Amino acid sequence: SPPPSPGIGGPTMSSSAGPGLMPQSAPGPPPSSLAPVPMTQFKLAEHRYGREEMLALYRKTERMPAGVEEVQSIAKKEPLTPMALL
Amino acid sequence: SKDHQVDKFVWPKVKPGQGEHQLQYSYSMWFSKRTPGNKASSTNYEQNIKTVGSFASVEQFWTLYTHLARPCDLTSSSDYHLFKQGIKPMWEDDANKSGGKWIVRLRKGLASRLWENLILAMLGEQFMVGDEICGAVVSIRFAEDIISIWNRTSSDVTISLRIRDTLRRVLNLPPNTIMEYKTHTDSIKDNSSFRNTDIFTK
Repeated sequence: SPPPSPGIGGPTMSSSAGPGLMPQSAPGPPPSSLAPVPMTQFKLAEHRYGREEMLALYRKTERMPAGVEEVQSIAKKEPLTPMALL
Repeated sequence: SKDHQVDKFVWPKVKPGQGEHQLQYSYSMWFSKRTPGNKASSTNYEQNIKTVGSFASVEQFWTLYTHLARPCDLTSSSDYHLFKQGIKPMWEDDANKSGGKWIVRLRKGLASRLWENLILAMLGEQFMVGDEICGAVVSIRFAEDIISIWNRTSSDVTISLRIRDTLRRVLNLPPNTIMEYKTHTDSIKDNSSFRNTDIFTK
């Protein structure tokens, strides 16, 4: 089975936080034993982009879009690099 | 009526620039911040939510996205809502009223990265459920952050499971992560986004 992603859920969660608050272990069959779900076939979208394609099209743009400037609490004058490229 | 303000809403016109990479749908990004102590209500919600930009191409998306504060840097009770143009991020919208959402609760500190992964998958049409996806939300709260993705038809289990599985894959969630689903009809009934959800663990 794949290794767990770092940081999600994990042993630091206190059970006092209440049920359902965070990912946690649950009894049940391992995922590999699940029967595949029959799928309705959808026509593939004409404009599809994988994550890497999306990232490859990123260019730093200094110009701040007009609507963003109006919400000063979230506007970043200096653009932030996408998280995936940090 | 409670929809007074939003009824007057005019969707911004947006189209891809020359040579840009068109997205399957155009989208608007919305931002909301609940004032502390204010009880959630439809009217408050509409007063506190605003569009910050719209886009129709990958390039336009990056320009908008990179000029916005990251979710993890927002104060508590803030939300980003990224919805298809024409769909308001409200339970009552025609596109949403028969739908629901998948919810993933996150430990503090993870939201920025997972939100980016989620919206890249949504914009790039990685969910492969036709026009079922309405939008995605990241909600910054006091003790946890919450990511959700909204779809049109809550009654279609096949679609719902495909969305869940894609969500798990693009967020790289461990197999035992709890996934919750809530119909918007139920949210309207209990006036709550994240309470009384259906919990799935497998």
